[in-house]
Amino acid sequence: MNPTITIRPGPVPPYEQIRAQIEILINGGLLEAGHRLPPIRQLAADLGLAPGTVARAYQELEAAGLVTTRRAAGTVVAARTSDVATDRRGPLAQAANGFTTTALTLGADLDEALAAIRAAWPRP
Amino acid sequence: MNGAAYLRSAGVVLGTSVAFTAANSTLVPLATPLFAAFVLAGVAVSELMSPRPSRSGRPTAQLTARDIDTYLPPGARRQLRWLSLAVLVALPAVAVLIADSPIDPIGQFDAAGGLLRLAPTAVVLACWGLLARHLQRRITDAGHAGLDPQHLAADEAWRRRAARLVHGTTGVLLAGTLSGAMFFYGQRHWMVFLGGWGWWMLGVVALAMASFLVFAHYLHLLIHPGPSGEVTAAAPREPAEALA
Repeated sequence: MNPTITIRPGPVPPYEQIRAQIEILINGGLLEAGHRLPPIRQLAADLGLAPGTVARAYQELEAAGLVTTRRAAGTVVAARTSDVATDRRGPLAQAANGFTTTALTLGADLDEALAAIRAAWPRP
Repeated sequence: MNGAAYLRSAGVVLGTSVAFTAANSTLVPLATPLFAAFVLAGVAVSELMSPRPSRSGRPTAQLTARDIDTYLPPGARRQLRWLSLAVLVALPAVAVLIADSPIDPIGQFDAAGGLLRLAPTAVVLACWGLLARHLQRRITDAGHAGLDPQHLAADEAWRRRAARLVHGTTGVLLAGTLSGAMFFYGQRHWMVFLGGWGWWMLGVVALAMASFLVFAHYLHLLIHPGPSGEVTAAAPREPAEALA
């Protein structure tokens, strides 16, 4: 399945929505290291945005070390550092990010997503 | 064949006829530019007639880079590079041989003059090469029609058709110029030796025929690049209860 992103109308600027969604997909493992992101013009045309908006999102992702941009290869997901989380908050946050992306892709709201977790949670 | 295919065919037929007539006159340097003008005019007008899948308007995108190679036959760009190299090597050689011929159509050029007469051809082919590269980038970067299966299929078909059309046009211009130059040289050679044949003539005609077959291959791609990828309204589904 190809991961997708969607721009929703609201107070959050489009570049921040792009950045946040790609960050979630990378942290959730849906975009693996080495995955080539679409060129700025392609993504801008698909989303109906100005190329500068997508470029800003990519710049911020690059500044955060999540992607690397090379002239020949384009923008690719960076290899992740092997820092092991000392507590379970990190892995939980990553799993939650992945689940949130899936729920949003399916069009579920927060209540539906929480209900799905409750239903899946093992009962004593 | 549909109307657009007829237009592209007409462009090639007219371009070839005009170019061959020009090559046998004092307008020989304009043969390739005239050929290119008619072929490109046919392609441009046919494209104005072809529909594009309309955009869905949903601001959703897949995070996958589109690659032009996925819309072209396997190895197509490599083959085109070889054809470009063949044109780059053969065309100056043929131009020099024709200019050195005792019945040179203009009769006042030496080898350097023959090369100079290639300048319009070189400019036209180089300009189209740059434009084709830009068009291929535009084809991959153009916004998608939508992410539902029907729109994805139409979008894919449109991109494949457009990429093949640009590729076929490039091939027709290169192979057409090469085979035209070869046949033209063969014709000159035959006239010089008053129809007598030899190994040289046989070799020239064999090369001309080979380049003509390459031309025919790209001509097929130009005339039949594939379906345009129109999005048609989905047929209304029968209710599940009615089917049961």
